[in-house]
Amino acid sequence: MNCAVWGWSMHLLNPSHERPDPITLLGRLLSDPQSCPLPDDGDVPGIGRLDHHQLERQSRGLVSKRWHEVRSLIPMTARMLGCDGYRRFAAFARSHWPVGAKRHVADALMFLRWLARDKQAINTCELRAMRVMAGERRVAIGWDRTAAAIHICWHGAASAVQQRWLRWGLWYPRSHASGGAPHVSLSDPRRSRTASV
Amino acid sequence: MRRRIGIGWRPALDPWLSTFPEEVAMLELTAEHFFGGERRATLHQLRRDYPLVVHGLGLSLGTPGPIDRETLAEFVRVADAVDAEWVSDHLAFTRTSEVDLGHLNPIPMTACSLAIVIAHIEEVQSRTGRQLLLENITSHLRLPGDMNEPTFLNAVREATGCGFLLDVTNLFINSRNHGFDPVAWFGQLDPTGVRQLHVVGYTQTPEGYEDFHAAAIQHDLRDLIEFVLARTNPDLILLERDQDFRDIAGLADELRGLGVVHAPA
Repeated sequence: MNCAVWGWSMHLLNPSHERPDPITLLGRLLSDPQSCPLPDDGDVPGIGRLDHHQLERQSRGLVSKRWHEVRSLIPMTARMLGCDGYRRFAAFARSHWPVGAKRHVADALMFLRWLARDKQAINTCELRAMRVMAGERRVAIGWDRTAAAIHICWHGAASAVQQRWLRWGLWYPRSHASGGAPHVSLSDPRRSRTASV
Repeated sequence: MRRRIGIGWRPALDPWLSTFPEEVAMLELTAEHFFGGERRATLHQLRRDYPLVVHGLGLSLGTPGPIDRETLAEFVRVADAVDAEWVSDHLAFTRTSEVDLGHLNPIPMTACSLAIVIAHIEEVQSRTGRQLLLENITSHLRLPGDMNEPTFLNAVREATGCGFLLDVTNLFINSRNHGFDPVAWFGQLDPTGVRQLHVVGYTQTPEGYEDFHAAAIQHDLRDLIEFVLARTNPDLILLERDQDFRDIAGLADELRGLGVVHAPA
């Protein structure tokens, strides 16, 4: 149960709880409309009369926009998930809401961990890259079994994340397994021309 | 001030913009792309090359309580760094005291919301030392309220001296999805407040119209843009594309087309 749902449940259980403002209430409803019942209209005028279909559609739109950002950060994992990707992300997304200026990176990292906990195969190079991009690590090193190479990822110049593969003493800018990895950076993950995650 | 045609800066446009295409007179930077000191060199380069305005996505002007300190400080830093002619953000909320939804959501058009938005805009204008333009959003959700959107926008302008960033595409999409007349909507807005337009083609899905910022401007939308331009005098008409930059020649054509639309008779 996410904190928004928890807060809303506590509100229902405790009638003396301070009445939430309409924006807080809308946030609860939009973050997980299926778990949050519409309140009594007397509580917050207007909110109880919302069109549930519209609410659900707005909420789906929020999740879709997040998925658009996240899949551009972890394209190999997204490809591994195939057409099931959006459904899996939607299941994850409504109970996890990232915060901060690097929220898309945080979202991608949380999603990878959520998949891993669920025994879903993920691209571990992307996990390392997200950890560096999120600022958890300055450098991350690991074995890329698919490429049969050592994968190294680090913060390079201009805040862009760099990565290389080391095999038989030679450095490669990209994993052969990735077939030409996507280009991402912290500030606009979708369209950097310089970074090489 | 003469009207200008511009485009939202995206990294994929850099090679083209570095050739100083005659179709682009101004750029709009998304503030969040430069938060945390990201792309400092790009910021300085763009400032040297183009007149700039700064557009925010996350001030969450409709959220009760103070604006997020860190977000506002970063927003001010970016606006100052590029000496923005003005700044803008949306009539919306993206976060609450409990959850950060990350994207734009509508606020109820009530007296309470009005007081919140006015206080936040006064703070942003004071901190940036610049006029803020308030943009209308697109939303699948229609909220009940005490007043309609143009009346709300007029009241905010009257209280704060802010301007409007009229997103004609958002107005068009909302009118189609929610079944109202965009011309009547526009007729209630104070046209002297419109300082900038956002335009981009809409996308049609089985569920309705969407603003994916990925399509060329369609004929029916162009009619509405022409209608608006016949009644306003914006300083900037900005093409807002986020996806599909493969056809730069087509993009340039579209910008030239906007120049023809807005040319004074």
